Amino acid sequence: MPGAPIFFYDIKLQVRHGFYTAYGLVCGIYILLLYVMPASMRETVNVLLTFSDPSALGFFFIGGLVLLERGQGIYDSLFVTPYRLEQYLISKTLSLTLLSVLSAVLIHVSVFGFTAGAGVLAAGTAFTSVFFTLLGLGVAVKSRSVNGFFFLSSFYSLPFMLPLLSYGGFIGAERWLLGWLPTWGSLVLLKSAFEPTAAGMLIQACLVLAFWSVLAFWWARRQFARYVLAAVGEGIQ
Amino acid sequence: MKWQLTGLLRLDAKQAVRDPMLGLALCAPVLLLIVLRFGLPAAGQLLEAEFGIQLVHYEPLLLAFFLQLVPLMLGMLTGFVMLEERDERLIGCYAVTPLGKRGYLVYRLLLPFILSLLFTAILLLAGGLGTPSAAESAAAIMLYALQTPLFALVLTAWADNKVEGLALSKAAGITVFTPAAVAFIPWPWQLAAGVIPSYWPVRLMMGGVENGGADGWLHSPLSTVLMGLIVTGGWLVAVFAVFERKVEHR
Repeated sequence: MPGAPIFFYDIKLQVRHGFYTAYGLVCGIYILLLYVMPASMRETVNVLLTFSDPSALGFFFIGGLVLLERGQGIYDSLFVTPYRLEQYLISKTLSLTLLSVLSAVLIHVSVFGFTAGAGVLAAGTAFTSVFFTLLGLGVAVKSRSVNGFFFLSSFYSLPFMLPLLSYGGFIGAERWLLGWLPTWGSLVLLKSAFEPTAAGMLIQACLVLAFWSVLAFWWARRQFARYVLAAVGEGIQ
Repeated sequence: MKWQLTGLLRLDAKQAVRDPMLGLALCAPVLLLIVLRFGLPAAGQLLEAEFGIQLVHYEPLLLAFFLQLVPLMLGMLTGFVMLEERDERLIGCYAVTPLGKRGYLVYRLLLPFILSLLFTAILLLAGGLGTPSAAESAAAIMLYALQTPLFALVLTAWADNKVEGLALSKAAGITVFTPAAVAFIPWPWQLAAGVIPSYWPVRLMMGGVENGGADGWLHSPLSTVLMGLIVTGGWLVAVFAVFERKVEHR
């Protein structure tokens, strides 16, 4: 695989910047939290925790990564090498997705043991992470500061939080109302770690997530070309 | 020093318009209040219907959790502003102006501290949840707000760049779970969480309820406040020393 060395380099960079240490700590706290809470809530909380944290960590971190690399002027020289933009995007996305999946599985397995559900949970986390990291990347290239990124990203991510309203039956028939959103698919996959889910639902969830991930890839590539590559060589910060 | 501070304040007001996150810092606590007042009762009904869990029992825990979000958010926000100013070598520039490095720090850290005092007080008073006595509440507000400059300094002192800043802020985020430690970890063991400054205001907020009726000077509000001041003060001094060294070397 031509992009493999850069993928491992990205992981090394993330280790050095303390991502793995931070998530080790965060996972430890989540595991502790799940242990001390009433057993009847554990499964729901595990789904919601995985959805809101490990699955979306790429969204959180990619902003800083892009801003830092741009500030250091890395892009000026990076894309004159045979290294392609697509490889860059894929490597960034997959390396952060790896951390997502490792954290989600660590939390789940520590509390519930090695269940068959851990597999679907990992798949749901991976899909969600790919989508959110690419979304974050597209937002990050527009931002000038980390705080600006947080601000912008809250607007971009808000519509995708709608499927959370399905909790407690705030709205009925959410499969038809919200079933086209990627995060609906994420919740279906994550929940299916604990309850039997119809094959049709799982297929719809995977299709929706795959579709949005491809869309997010296309969008991130376009945003990158527009905001970063067009400015390469101008020496902007 | 007065006119320099107003100058910076004016610059920040302009910045708030250009970099809307600073504006969001002012909106976020309002959002928190809305969630606390309207979201929480709805979630309460839901929890009772789905799991038979009565949220009323967890009110002190939830209030303590929401209050901790204020210094965390404002501190991180300030931290990232300072981190970027340090990376752009702006702190050194401020240091040679009549404002001086001390003036810069006072300004950068004082404003979010005052905002934290204000927002925690508003959340406490208008949150619609039960609160401890006035004196204990006031002390808790102070201990919460003192963490704001601490979070900002931690970020600027330990992170070498904004990416490390993000990892650090993720790790610092676990302080919002100290209420769970106070509520669920049995008494002498939970003291281990006492090295984290947020443990002490949380204890004040959750008061005698969670002590299993235990008595003794360690449980009195006064010793809790004193311990909180010592722990938070210790952290501030230590992190400030690291910060000084880091800015000098750039």
